[in-house]
Amino acid sequence: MEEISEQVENIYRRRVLRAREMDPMEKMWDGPRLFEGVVRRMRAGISAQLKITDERSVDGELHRRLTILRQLQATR
Amino acid sequence: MTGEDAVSVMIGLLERAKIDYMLVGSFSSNYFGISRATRDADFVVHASETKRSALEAALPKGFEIAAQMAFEMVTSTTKQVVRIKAIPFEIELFDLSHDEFDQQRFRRRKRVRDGNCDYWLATAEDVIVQKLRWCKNGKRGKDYDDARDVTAVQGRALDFGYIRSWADRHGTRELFEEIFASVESLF
Repeated sequence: MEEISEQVENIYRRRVLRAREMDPMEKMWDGPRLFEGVVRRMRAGISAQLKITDERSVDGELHRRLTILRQLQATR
Repeated sequence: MTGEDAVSVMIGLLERAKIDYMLVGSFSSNYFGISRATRDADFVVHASETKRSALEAALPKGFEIAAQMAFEMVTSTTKQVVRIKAIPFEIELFDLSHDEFDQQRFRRRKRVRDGNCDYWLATAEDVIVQKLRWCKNGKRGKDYDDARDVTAVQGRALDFGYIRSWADRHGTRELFEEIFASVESLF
């Protein structure tokens, strides 16, 4: 059976090879596009967890969580 | 409005105002390395007060400039944060500092083409050198990953002499050699 570290290495190798084949400009714009997906999932999570659906409340909580995340990353 | 729209608008404004700039940070590491989600776009700008005021005046509705300039500790640079009201996305405008490396990477920036538009972007080597610096001083894991990814994807196309010379000066050589050894088999 393939060792875990070998599997990790192979997955990374595949990611590198895929990145080499991609259009660099597409990769650059993927950054904000991927983040939009993150935000969508966070909104859905907040709605489900706090049982709230109105956009304003969801946005407020989303903003609060992202601010905490930003502060944590700044001090890490 | 999306993060992509906001960055395109900012690039358009900088180009029209003839302000010298380059895209750095995660946008540049995504360009040369492996894409990851990013919630801010970092620019280094070199503009007179007049041009800066004109840029601020030209910002469209929904772009909000933070009241105070912020100070970035790692490279001792001032920055202005532009918040996009409709979405949780920020644009950070770093002033070109007097730091020798900051000056050098600005001189080395390259023009890249996206359809009908051209942008100024930091070079792959300079992305690595700066990420190493952030990694050492800011101790952020994502900077290590970004430096490794750009090194792995660009491989032999990189000017390793240039990277090593700056890494020696910044005290990040050991970090770079660790990254180099971990991805050399992919070159």
